[in-house]
Amino acid sequence: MEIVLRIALLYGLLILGFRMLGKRELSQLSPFELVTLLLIAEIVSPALTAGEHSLTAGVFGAATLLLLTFLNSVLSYRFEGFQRVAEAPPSVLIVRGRFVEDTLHKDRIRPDEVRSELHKSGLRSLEEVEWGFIEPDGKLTFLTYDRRPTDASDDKGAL
Amino acid sequence: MPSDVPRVAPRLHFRKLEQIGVAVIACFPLLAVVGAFGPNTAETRARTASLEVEVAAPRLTRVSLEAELVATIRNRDTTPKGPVSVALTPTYLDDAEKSLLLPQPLTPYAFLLPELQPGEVRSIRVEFKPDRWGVRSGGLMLESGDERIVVPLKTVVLP
Repeated sequence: MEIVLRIALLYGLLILGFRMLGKRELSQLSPFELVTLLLIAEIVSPALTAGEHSLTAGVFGAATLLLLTFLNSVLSYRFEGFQRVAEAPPSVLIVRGRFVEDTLHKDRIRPDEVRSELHKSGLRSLEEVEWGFIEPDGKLTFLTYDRRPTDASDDKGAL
Repeated sequence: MPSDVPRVAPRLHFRKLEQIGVAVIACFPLLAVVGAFGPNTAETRARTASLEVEVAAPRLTRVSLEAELVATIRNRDTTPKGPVSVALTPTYLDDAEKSLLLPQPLTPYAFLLPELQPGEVRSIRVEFKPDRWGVRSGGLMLESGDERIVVPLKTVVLP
């Protein structure tokens, strides 16, 4: 029982922690963030099972984690309020070729990062973008004036 | 702002396989919460005309989990009793890592308690970690003069 409670508690804590970290941290990991994530895994791992190595604990521990993931998806779908807590909504980053500075500051995105993402999407300049978004998973997507959607993750190649 | 998608009221609908899978997965944490995977302890009492013994031993435990066996012996007589020898079946503890045996055993798993005064209570304590899964059976034998008590022990060790 203790392991189930430990997993549930740490799962909730990590979900909230990553939610508070911001969207960018989810898609692009700097060396510092990568080290933080690796250390979190090392720190959290013994706390999850309290040093127990039995197969039984592993089985119901994994089942607990899977069940929490399923419940998270069900609750996010069913309740908008829950989804807002668990997952950040998309933010408008560019409107008609201009940055929404508030979004840049809140999501800690530098203009040169956006430029790099524009190039990856096959776009030359900010003026080509009618709408730009930072999606819940941290990826940047751009809508050009001809409504051709572009996604930086498509990696179509820069100039 | 690009036009939003039409709103659809969320309605939960699960596929057959999903229903079965979630039910199976949910069983594990639920069973763990109600203690079906242990650890739990069984208490057994036995007595003769002048001695009484109460044994608390694990009924269900898991590999690598710390378990404890405590035998409490009481002199019910109005005269001193002793010495009292207490012995555990070696097979019960052979496949376990022993971390504590109190008091110091005379030979492996055999203890000798000096004279017990009327009403006096003494206990022996064994802390161990089972190394292998399976059923451990044995007994605790208590002997003083012509009096003899055997308390059966049975512990299921999950993998």
